[in-house]
Amino acid sequence: MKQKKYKKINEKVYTFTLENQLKVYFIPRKGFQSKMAIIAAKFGSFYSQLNLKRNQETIKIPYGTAHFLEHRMFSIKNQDATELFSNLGASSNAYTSYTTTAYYFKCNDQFYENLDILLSMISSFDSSESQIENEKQIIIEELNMYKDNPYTKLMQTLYQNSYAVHPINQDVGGDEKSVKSIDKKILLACFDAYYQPANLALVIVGDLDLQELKDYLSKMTFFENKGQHQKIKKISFKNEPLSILKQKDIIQKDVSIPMFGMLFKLKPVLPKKMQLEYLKTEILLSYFFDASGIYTEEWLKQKIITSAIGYYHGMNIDLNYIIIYNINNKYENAINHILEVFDKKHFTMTLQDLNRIKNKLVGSILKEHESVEDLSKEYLAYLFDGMDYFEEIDILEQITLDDIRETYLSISNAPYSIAIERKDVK
Amino acid sequence: MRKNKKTIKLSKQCRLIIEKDNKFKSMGVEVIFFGKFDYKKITIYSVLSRILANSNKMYPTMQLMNQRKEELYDATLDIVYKYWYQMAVLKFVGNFVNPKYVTSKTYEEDIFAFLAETIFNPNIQNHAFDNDLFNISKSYVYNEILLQKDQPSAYAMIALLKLLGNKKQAIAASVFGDKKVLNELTPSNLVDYYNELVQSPFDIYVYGDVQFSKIVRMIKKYFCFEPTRQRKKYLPSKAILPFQIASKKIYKDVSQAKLAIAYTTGIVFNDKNCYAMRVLNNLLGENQQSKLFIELREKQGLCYSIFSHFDSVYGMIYIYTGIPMNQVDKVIEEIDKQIQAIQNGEFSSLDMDRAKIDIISTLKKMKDNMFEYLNYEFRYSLYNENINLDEIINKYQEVTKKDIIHVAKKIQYKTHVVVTKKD
Repeated sequence: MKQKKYKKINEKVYTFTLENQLKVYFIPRKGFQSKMAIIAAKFGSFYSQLNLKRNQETIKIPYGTAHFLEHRMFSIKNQDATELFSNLGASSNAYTSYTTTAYYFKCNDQFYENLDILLSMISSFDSSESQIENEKQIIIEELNMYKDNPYTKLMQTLYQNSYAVHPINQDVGGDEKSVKSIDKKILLACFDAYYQPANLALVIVGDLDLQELKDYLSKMTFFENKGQHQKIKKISFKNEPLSILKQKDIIQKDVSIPMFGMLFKLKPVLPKKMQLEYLKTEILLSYFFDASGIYTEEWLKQKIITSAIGYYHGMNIDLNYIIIYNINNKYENAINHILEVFDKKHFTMTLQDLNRIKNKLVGSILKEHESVEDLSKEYLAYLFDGMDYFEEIDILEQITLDDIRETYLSISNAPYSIAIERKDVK
Repeated sequence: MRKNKKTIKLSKQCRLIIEKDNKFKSMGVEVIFFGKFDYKKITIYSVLSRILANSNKMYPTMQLMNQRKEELYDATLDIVYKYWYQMAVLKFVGNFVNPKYVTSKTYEEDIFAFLAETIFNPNIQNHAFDNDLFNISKSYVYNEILLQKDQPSAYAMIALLKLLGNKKQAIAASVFGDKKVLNELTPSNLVDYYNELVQSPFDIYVYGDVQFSKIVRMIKKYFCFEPTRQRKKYLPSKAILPFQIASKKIYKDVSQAKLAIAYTTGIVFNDKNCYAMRVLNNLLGENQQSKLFIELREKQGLCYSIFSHFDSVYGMIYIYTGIPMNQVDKVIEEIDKQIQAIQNGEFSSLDMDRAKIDIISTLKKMKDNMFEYLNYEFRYSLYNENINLDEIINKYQEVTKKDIIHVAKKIQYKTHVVVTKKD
């Protein structure tokens, strides 16, 4: 067991590496009623289209498989894990992202009984063919639900128009055709390949006794029947060109006010640099477009925009982009103004601005630590990207004006794609 | 009284309630002004709250005000109008970092001074708010009124509530406001509404890792203000009558139909049957093993999600889901069957116990989220009741199967809304 302390933010993390290679992270939360455990596999939608070998057969992973598997992992020998959790007063859920599938429960009492259920469901695949068939319509309805969200549709269009090779151009859940093509053989092949203890991590957050946790982990027998670990191939998408596919797209959507998004395609960064890169971009975009920003109030006064500008920074394996979006009837004018900001001549940030925005980020990071659920999920997400969530404030403090200028120039030099949603496309 | 909680009378009309909990890295402050529900104020306060959150005399522009919030380590200030039948409040909700984590020695003083300045010293000149900020705020509200139609699931619920009363009643009024009221607003008449607001009685709640004496001293320094309006009691709930009304179909370019159904129960917040009704609602469609979830999603694959919600202000149950467009009638029929099953006692003790455990577990977790807890405490205070989580938990534990069948028989279909694509 290793212990790491973060004095400034009053945090500590205990790390255990079990014999079966499963890594466990425990973050104590004194005084909180909620206790949470989240276990995740390094397997998400970016792993689609890979070939897996199972019983001498080669199986190609369809789009949406990681998400489908997530739906069907709640079966434990003809029992529903959700029901077992509920019987013990725990709530449970799961999510699939581009590179991760995570399962968790949250409870007040009977933590170890609930942890048994979580580990039991993650260490075996027990779904029948008929259950898998039944799940298809449920997933298709889930995909339909997302399609009705104007924001989701806009983002998907930007990804498809910006990325030729990278699987971000596909929806995490796949589409109706790919979902229908998934069967038990495919799910089992993915389960065998990616749900090995060495490819999983377990994060536990709550007011728990350290010794009790140690005892539990030392006696834990899950995953014992797992065979020899297969070597997991690292995924990479280095052949993605830096250019975009389509500069501008107008989509028909039943919206009251047009919405536009601009994706700036940036050069990918190494995983260990992602945290720094994320904070730098956050500072820059906040400086420009937050309510405190140098443009927001002026543009609102001039009616260049009529609502807040939103932004998002996405980073992942061989992937780095920012999206700026807004709801606007006169979107062409707003787009031109945003492009002008990134003309390499508009970087005017002072040290005072930088320190003020750093203060804001320190405050928001500290507030994030208060929710047991958010903390568990964030810690895990950073961990899987090779970063330490609790080092965020230290990294933030090191950022200089030159760093932000560098980020500004990289956005200014980036190719971009624009998508507009409106209801009256001819 | 619990040792970690203090209630202090600040003046005839105002109270300070402080609750200490040292596990948090931030501090919550709510300043709550009381009044009577007024339909127009949904729109008026929506504009006013944007102006107040983005300017005051000391920081008169949106940029300066928000830069000050950044200096104060992401000081957030949300201003929300909440209403329950005739009762209404305007809440200023502040969230600030625990002073332990910042280097500034005056941080605590700075945030209370900032909060008081924002509430009591707005940027008013010549009896008018700043015209630019007024127009910006108005345009935000205008956009929100338009955009409510763009999220079809939420829109189905808004349309359902609209059917339940006239548009000026709290149950049916759109939380986004009304274009006509918005058009009548001016930077000057908004000042009159502001003046009326700050003459209303208020309570201040402070929650977090705080020192009682320090907080009392600062509140007395910055919030020593005697409103001229009297604290009055307004009814915070009334059951909607059970007669049926015509359903509504709304056409929109959607990929799946959104269905929202309303049922009356006649049981409101302070009714002794309310506990049984909440257990019923949980087993019907709130928990992850609810009858609706199991039957419609797990067994029949008709939907991805389905929920029921018990609204104790009006004694209503709302059910909402997204389904294939050709299955609307079937789903309505299936939902009705599940309600009938509960009315006939067709549920196990395990179903009932699971529902109780789920509710109790949520109650126990409540103190992990200061704002959730403050909301809950406030709801009880509307009925002059002090919150006692242990007593509330006991009341849920005492609910029997007979109680659930008894309240189930009060459920009556009222109406429904479907948002779907034109054939």
